[in-house]
Order: sequence, then C-alpha cells, then structure tokens
Amino acid sequence: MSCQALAKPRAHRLAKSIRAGSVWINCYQAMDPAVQFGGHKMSGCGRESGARHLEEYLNVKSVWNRTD
Amino acid sequence: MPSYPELKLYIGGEWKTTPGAAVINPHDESVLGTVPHATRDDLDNALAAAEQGFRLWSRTSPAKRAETIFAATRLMRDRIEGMAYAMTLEQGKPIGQSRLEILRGCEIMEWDAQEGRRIYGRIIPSEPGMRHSVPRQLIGVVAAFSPWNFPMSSPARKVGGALSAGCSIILKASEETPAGAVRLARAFHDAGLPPGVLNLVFGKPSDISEYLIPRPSVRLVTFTGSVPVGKHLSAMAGAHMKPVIMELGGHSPVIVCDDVDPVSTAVTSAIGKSPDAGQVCVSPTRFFVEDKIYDRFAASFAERAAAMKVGNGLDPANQMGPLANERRVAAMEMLVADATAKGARVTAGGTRIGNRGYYFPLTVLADVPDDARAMREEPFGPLALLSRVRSLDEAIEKANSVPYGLAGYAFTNNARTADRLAECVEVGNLSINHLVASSAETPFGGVKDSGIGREGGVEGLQCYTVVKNVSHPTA
Repeated sequence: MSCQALAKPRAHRLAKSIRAGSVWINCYQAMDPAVQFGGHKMSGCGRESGARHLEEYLNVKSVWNRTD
Repeated sequence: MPSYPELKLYIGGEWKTTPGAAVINPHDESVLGTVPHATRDDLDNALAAAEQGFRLWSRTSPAKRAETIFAATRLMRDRIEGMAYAMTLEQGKPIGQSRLEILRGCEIMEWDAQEGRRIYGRIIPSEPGMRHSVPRQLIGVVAAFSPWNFPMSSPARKVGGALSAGCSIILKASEETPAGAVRLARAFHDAGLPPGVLNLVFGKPSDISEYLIPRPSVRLVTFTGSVPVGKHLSAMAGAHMKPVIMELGGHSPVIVCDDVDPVSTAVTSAIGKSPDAGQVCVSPTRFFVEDKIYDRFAASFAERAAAMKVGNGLDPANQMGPLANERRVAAMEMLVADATAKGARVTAGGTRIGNRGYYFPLTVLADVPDDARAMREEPFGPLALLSRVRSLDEAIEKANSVPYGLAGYAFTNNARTADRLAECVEVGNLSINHLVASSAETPFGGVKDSGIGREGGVEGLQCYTVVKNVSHPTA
C-alpha cells in the first residue's frame, strides 16, 4: 500500500471501512498510551491504553436515590 | 534563614525591576520590599512574549508540557520553606497554612498537567457519509488576575489550567502579596519553561486590566476577587466578546441539623473558620442551626473560638495570624458594631487586638438578626454569624437569601436531608459533614453573583479551550 498516494477522502473511507481495532494512515504502528489498542473479530475483546483501558477494570452501578 | 525575595516582573523569560509600591507585613506594618509596577511598554512586551509563547507551547505535546509542569512543582516542593516564609511575611497566615497552600497549589498544577493529556473531543453520528468531529482547541493567550488571600495557590489555579491546556498566560498577581507568584514564576523559569509561556506583571490593577483585556491576542480573562471588580472586568471582556472565568465572593451558609452532635460540629466549625483568618471566599460564615441544638452549639463554638491562638504567623504555635490589611480590620469593627446594635450578642472576640499589626480575633456573634449588614455583605474576615432556625425549610430559605452562591456546608446524619440540601442549596460547591470546599480534581466556582466558569476538574480545563465542529463528507 502506497500510503503517500492516498487522497484524503479515500483515507477517510478506509479508516471507516476496515474491520480492525487500529487503522494507520500514512504511518505504521504508531503507539501512544493515550490511544486505545485492541482488536475486532477474532483478534480480541477489550482495549488497552487510552481512556477505555481503565474502564475494563471498573463496573458501573446505577444508584437510584429519591430526593423529594 | 530564608529571606523575603526580591520582587521582579517576569516577561518573555527575563526578570525586570521597576519602581513600584511598598509591600507591608501585616504582623507589624513594616515594609518588606517594593513590588515593581509594569509600564505600558512592559505590558506590550508581555503581550508580544505571550503571543510567541502561545505559538510554541500550543505545539508542544501534552506529555512534554506535563513534564515541565512537574519539574516546576518538584522545585516548589523542594523550596517550600523559603516560599512559605515569604508568604507568611506578606500575607500573615500561620506558616503551617502557607506550607499547606503550596502543597495544594502543586497538587492542583500536577492534576491539571495530567488531565491536559485527556482533553478529548468527540465524533457525532450523522447522515451516512458525513462525519462531524468536534475537537477542543486552545483558546489562546490568557490574562489572569489573582487575589491577595492566596498568594500561591490562586496563581497556581490559573497557571496550572492555562499551561496544562497549552495556552500562554500573563498573570497579574496581587501587589499586596506578590512573593508567592514571584516564587512560582521562578520555579517555572528554573524548570525550563520556554520564554513567554508564563509572564508575571504587577501594577495599578485597573490600569493593567483596562489595557490587557481589549488587546486582540488576549482570548480569555480569568479573575479571582470581589463581586464588583469581577462584574466590571466581565463587562469589559464582554465589550470585546471574550469569555471569562470569574471566581468571586461568597457568603457561605452552614446548615447544622439537629441530628448531629452539637459539640463536635461546633469545634469543627470554629477550626474551619480560622484558616487565613476567615479571609477566604469559601469561609463558613452564616451558621443556621436548628433550635434543639442551637444553645449547645453556640456555647461550644464560642469556647473553641476563644481558645484560638492568634499571633505572628511565623510562630508555629499560632493558629491564626493578622488580617491582611487595615481595611479588613475596619470592616470587621463596622460589621460587629452594626450587628450588636441590631441585637446580636458577641460571645467570643469582637475587638481589635493591640495597636500594631492588623490583628482581629476569631469572633462569634450569636442571635444575629437577618437585617444585620454582616448577614448580607461578605465579611471576608474572622466573623462567625450564628442564627437559630426552626426548620430545614427556614434554613434553606435563609441560606439562599443572599446574591452569593459559592460554597455551602451542611451537617446532618440523615440521608434524606442530605439529598434535599444537595438539591436545594444554591451554590456551586456543597460540602456535607465537612468543611473542605475544593480540591484539584473537582470543579470549583459559583452561581449567582459568585461567578462564571469553573477552576479545577475536567470542567476547569475546558474553560481554556474552544470547541470547533468539523463537518466532512467521508464517502
């Protein structure tokens, strides 16, 4: 894939359409603790890194509280 | 032995001395030093430096920005003794409270620095083939004005927010208590903050605000101080279509329900009234106490207040220092005289201590009538006003009866009452069963006349950003 040759709208279409947890456009395998990482399909569940990472370790709870 | 620092302007990474005004020690009215006043040229240089600083800092990664901020707070923690000494000299608060203020200021800037890495935008679902993305972009150069009561932590709020988001800042700190901000700027300078990202000026406040606020490159005005000045600055900013963060006065209600222990609650309250000699916008002031426990609460409060050790803040045995200036002493005398003339009883303190230094004791007024001036006007000093109420409804109504709405407090062991108070008390910050109004991670600010915008928490950082909607067909 010649990434340099990608016109912008094609890049957006690829980003949207490829079924993968990460899509890199015009670069390879950039990693950042701020950006979530993980897979679609058989590649896995859940995410590491990014805001979603900590949520994997948390449960949500609904608390109903009458205040009137 | 630490010394009071030489006071300088800090513009574009350079330190500068100019003629100015005397800084007075409120303990003995001696002159500590001279605070330099910025000239028009200095302000122009600060603006040019801040514009250049913004270009550089906004293109620095959040991680790198956080690294510099942490390097600065490490230096402040290392230099805490000298910094606390200077702040106690100029402001009067006990040395332990100065140390705590510095630690709190560091925590605020560190939290902001970390949160600066999480200023997320969002993607909005729309028609097929259309993508709306909403990034948060930096607002630009910030003009900040900080007050005399917190020489370090109030500048820390503003500098921490601006620098963590990626903005540059021109800080005009208090001319009465300038050393906290000078020491803070020194730490950032020594930590390698690029020139122009943080600039510190002093001068005649109205001259500086009237010059800086209209300048096109200034995109946000943030101010902590009185309601009248805040309204004036907001109007000026509005005339130039600039957003503001206004942390203004408060007149905090404390609702004490009859299901709590009156003695321990009164002791907590007396101690909670003493920091900074009550010269705090969130100081607990109007105590609405339910009838059944009122007398025991009032007696315990007076007893604890009278035991408070008042004196030179450099002596670690003292729990309360002098007021910041002569104006505060005169205001306390006037408010006490007015309240007693209208039927209030002085049960602790009430009169100035000595005739040198601005000392006024922790003062408890019981049975303060609703029409006393102190119940309407923010005392900003060591006055605790006690009022008997017959019901929770009456307490809520009286709590909400002033134009202020900054912090409020309540003591109750009843969950239903706590929820009701959380709903009904008109304040930006309500603390239940304790007297801490703000922390680094929570949004702090007021409703009604107490202000606009928030400092701290996610909401605080968002004030330094603007949202942009970017619509883009992707098909």
